[in-house]
This record gives sequence, structure tokens and C-alpha cells, in this order.
Amino acid sequence: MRRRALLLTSGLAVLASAMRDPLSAFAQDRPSDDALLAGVSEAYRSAQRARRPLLVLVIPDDNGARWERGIAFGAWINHGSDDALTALGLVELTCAPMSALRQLVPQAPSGEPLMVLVDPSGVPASARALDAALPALELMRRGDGEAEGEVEEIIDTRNATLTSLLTGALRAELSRLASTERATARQRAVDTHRAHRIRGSHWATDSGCGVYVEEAPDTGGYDCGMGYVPPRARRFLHFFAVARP
Amino acid sequence: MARRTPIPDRLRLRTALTLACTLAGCTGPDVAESALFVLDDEARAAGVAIEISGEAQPADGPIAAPSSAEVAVRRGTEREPIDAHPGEVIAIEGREGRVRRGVDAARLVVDADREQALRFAELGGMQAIPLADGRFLIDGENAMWTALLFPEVAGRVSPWSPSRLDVSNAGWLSPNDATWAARTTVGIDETDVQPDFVPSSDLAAYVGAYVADDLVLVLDAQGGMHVTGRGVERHGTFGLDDRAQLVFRFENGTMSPMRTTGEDELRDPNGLRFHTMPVVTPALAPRDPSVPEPLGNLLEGL
Repeated sequence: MRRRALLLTSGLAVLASAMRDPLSAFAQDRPSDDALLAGVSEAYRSAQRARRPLLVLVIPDDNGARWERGIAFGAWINHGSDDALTALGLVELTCAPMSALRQLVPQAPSGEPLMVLVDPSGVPASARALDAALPALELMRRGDGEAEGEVEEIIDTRNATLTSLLTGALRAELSRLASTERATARQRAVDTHRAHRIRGSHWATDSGCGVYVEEAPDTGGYDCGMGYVPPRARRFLHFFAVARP
Repeated sequence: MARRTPIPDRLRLRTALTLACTLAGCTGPDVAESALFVLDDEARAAGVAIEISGEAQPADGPIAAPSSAEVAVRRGTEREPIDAHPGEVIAIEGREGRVRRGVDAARLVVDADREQALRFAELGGMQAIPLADGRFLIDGENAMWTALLFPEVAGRVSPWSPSRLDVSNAGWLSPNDATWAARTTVGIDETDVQPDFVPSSDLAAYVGAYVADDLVLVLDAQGGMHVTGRGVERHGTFGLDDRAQLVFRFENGTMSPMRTTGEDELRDPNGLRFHTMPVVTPALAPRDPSVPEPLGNLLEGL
């Protein structure tokens, strides 16, 4: 148990070290302002044409906070409840920093909320912040034997919080769905958000032995095999592009 | 957007203009040694003329009068001497040949077809704005001097009157910006209009970011319109007119209808085409094997 706790601590410390040092091999490059704007614009127009709300997963300016959110969103989308998937199936998803979002949606809320839900069906569009405090992964670096259990609790809490925020915002839409439509929405969430890249991010996996970015050639191949990352925290959203020195 | 190769004449004329301006000092203090006179169509038709040292001048384009010369407006048998100040632009207007001083040297009207107007505008990095009567307003620094130096390109020139209300669509890019070449080049091109495309009557469908060369146009979700790029920054709002056509309203009150020629394309009155800003997903580079894997380093330290 002590060894497992040590490895858990080690695996998470990798992420922690990346959070602290934006110049590490795992730094997440920030594209140009125009590139960010283009991404938001494409997502907005796609949502408008599909007549769906646009859910923006907000990319914080701080590199460390970026990792925290990427892991939280990853666990939510990959391991969220049926309610979470149903709600996610109703929206278009994109990841964007608030600066880019405000260029296109000036009425977007202040600060860096976790998410912003935009209704693009009219002009002016409505935009509301979906925000709450999420327990931080910092707790998991204590290295004691209870760390694993704490990790699972934190992931549960995070997923429940994110689900509550979105289902609360989409209560009216969700209440109108028949059971078959709910199933369709869940399937769409899996097929669209889980199986494919979400705008403004890449899916990546941290197995405890380095970060593997999906769609990236040869991002893995580390020869260690000693780290441990809880299964539900492994696949996360790697924002922006992958920086390689 | 692909840029067309400029036609040789255009380059030749630009070079000539630069040389002529340099030689004539049109961008330096020597410009102020002469006054310019411009007649409008009514004055020309009525036989009103400008005399310099007793000699009537050709009236189609601007007329330069050295400050030392004796200048007069001739109306039939009547002759009115004018004390013109160096650097001043004076309009002679109407059948009566009214004298209007303090005319804007950066604006004039050319009686030309679209292509000729655009070519002339391009000579000086100016903007050609179509007028309701089929002529074009040329807007840009040194417009009058450019017409003086290149009368064969400018054609028949008239002064611009600020009281005119016949602007069919306001130009919406700042004059003298660095994009004139692209703008004019695009303008000369004919657009492949998709005949089966029906513009959206839903204002929300236009929200987005668009580009045309180095210009970025943002139609935001609040109804705001922003154009930025080299030398250009214009703001306003956008909406639909009573025919459900997209219209830009600028801060200064001018309006500009936009044509929607495709799902993701907007075209301004001068032919400048904006496309939705393309999303470029950066290629992910392979991992550099020489970069140490941080977990390994971490474990070594434990």
C-alpha cells in the first residue's frame, strides 16, 4: 500500500511539476489571438447552425490552472454520469480562453468561470457563467495511504459539480426530452465529444509514464512503467497545442 | 485569400506617381506653391473656365495655378480675378460658376466606369466609392494631385461637395491604409456569385470572425461590428434592412450594405471579400527523444 501511494504521488507530481513550470516539455502553447478567435468563431457558427447552445470550457490564462481544468473536464466527459452525458449531448463544445470568447461574445461574464453557456440563436446572444469551486489535485500529493481514496472522492465531487452546473443551466431543455431522446443525446456526447477532438484542445492520456497526446505522432514511448495515475484522471483535455522544445 | 499579380501598368503608374511626386515635391513643402481649381459638370457645361495669365485652361481635371500667376474665373464675358492662396483647392460650381474655397484635397468625384475608378484610386492608395449617379467618389490623401498628374487615368473630375447625399453606399475602410492594393485588386476581380444562394434572414447567422488579407472583421454576438488590420480600425453595428440584407452602420453614421455571396462570405461595396476566419490546427510535433521524461527524473530523485 505504501508503494502504491508513493507511485500515485509520483504520477500526480509529474502533472504538478508541469503545472508549476510552463517551460517544461509539457507546456501548453498559446496560439495567436487570431487563431483563438477563429476557433471560437467556428464553434459559435457551428452551434448557431445546429441550433444548439455553445458550451465553452474556459481555458485559464495560468498554465497550472489549465492542467487542473483539463484533468477535471477530461474526467467529467469520460466518466461522467448519464445525466452529464445527456446534457453534454445537447451542446456544441469548445475550449477557449475568455479573451477570445469576449472578442466574439462581448457580453460574456467577467473572470474565468469554469464554463460559459452561450445561446447563439439571436443577436444579442445570451451568455451565462457556469462556475463553482472544484477541489484541487494538490490534496493528492500528500503521499499517505489514503491518497487513492481521496482521489476518487475528488473526481466524484468534481464530476457531480460540473454535472450540476450544466444540467441546472439546461433544465428546461432536458425536461422536454423523451427517454429515447435522452439516450440519443448521451450517444451523441460519446460519439462527438469523447471520441473526437474538442475544439481548442487535444485528448491526451497520462498513464503515469508520460503524456500521450492523441493524434500526435510518437508522443509516447517512455521506458519507465513506474508511475500511477488514477484511471479516471488519465484521459484529460490538453489545451492548445503541444509544445516541444 | 489569393492575391492577383498586379498588372504591369499599375506598377508603372505607381512608379511614375512616386517619381512625379518626388520631382514635383507634391509630398513636401513645394506643394504649397500652387493652388488647384476644379470645375464641376454644370460649370463646364455652362462654359465657365479658369484663366491663368489670361489663357483659358482645359477644364476636365484639376488646374494648377502658380501662386505668382494671375488667376480669374471667366463666365461668358464676365471675368472675376481670384486671389488664390498657395496649397488651396478651390471649386467652381454650378452654371453660375460659384467659387467655393477650402475644398478637401483628399476627395474628388470621377466620371468613370468602375474599373477606371478603381485603377485611379489604386494609383494613390485611395478608395473608390460608388455614387448613386454612377460616378465614383475618390477618397484618399493627394487625390487632387494624383488627378493633376494623371489626367488620362482620372478622366473627368469634379469637386466633392460635403452636402451631397447621393452616396449609395459609404466606403468603410480608412483611406490611405495599407490594404489598398489588395482591396482594389479584389475589386477588379469579378466574383463568382452563387445564384442559388439565399442570404440568411437570421441576423445570428452572420456572427463570426472573417478575414480578407490582413483585415479582420468581427461581427460579435452583441450586434457589434469591428474591422481591424494594418492602418484600419473601424467600429459600428450590423443589422438587417427591410429587405433582410446585411447592413453595416459605422460610428460616424454611414451605412454600408454587404452582399452575402456564399455561406461564409461577405462582400463589401468595393468588392472586398471576407471569408470566415479559417481554423488552423497546428500539427503536433513528434516527441524529441533527447528531452528527458520528467517522471523518470522525478523517480530518480525519490
